[in-house]
Amino acid sequence: MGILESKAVRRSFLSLFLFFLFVGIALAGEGEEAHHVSFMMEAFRAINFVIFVFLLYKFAGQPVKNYFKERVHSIEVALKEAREAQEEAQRRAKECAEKVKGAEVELKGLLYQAGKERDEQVERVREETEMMVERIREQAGVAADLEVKKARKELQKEAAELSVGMAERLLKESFTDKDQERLLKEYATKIKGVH
Amino acid sequence: MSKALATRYAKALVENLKEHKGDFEKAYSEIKKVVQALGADPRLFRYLSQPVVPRRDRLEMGKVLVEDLGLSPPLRNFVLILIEKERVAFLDMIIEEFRKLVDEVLGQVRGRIRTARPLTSQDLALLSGSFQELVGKKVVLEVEEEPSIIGGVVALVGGVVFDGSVKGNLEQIREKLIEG
Repeated sequence: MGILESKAVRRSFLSLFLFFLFVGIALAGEGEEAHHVSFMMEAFRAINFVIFVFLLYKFAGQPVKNYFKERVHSIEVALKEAREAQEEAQRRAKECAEKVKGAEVELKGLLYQAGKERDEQVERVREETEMMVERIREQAGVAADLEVKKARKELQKEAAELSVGMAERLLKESFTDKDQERLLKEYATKIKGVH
Repeated sequence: MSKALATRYAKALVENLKEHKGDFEKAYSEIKKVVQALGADPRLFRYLSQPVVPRRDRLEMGKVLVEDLGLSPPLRNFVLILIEKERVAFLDMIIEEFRKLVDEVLGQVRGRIRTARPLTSQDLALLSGSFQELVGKKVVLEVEEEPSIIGGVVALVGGVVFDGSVKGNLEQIREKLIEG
């Protein structure tokens, strides 16, 4: 319910209107004899003021009091809400500040961890590379040794083939029946000796 | 199955030779001649071994063959029985089984000897004597000429190779040289 819709308030405004009308008429009459201000006039004004105050208190006092009481209450509620809002805002600001602070710490930690991991990775890659180089070097050495051995074997084989081939040709040309006879005798003796 | 069949025929021939006091070695050389003749003429082999040829015709051709080869009566009959019973295709196995049976009967071991040059009877006797001393049985050697061995001999007796050839010695030298 609005304040102007209250019966008491309407009555208060009516009283004020009558008062100002009465004072206006009195002052209009007074204008003709302004220079005859007397004590009676001052007393009348004082009585008039007292009556005014009485009427004002009688008809508009309680509504005005209520109005201001309600107003005080609403201001108190608003103030309380504002205080709560302020506290909430402060709490949130504090939270945000803490979060920012935490984020900064976390960021520092992350940066430190990333740097550490990078260094470790670099070290690991370096070690692996060194090992690989060493392994390749060893393998190359082994392969070279094998190649040398293989080549030596091939040469040995070739030399053997050539020697035996030459011996075979010579023997084919020079082998006689007498040689055959001698070989048979030796062979027969060897066979007897086999056990 | 075919081995059992070959053994049966070989045993029959051995028993027949024993009964008629036949010469096993001669029989063996005669049957080898039959194998060689059939190996040299595949058409003749097919003619004698295929059942589609009438039995009478096969036997006629068989008689001509045994006459030409001059086989003794026991071998002549044996070959004609093989032709009649359509067993010519098993002749190789039969001769193998026959050889084993003959060796058993005579208490001998058969060996093969490869030589670069022809062997005289004295050479053969010398070698047979040596192997006989080694295995403790009479050793019959079948000689085969092989000039590629250059000189000496290579013998196969009782499943063991005795290499006394020049070629074999050269091979050993070659292997030693390669091994270093």
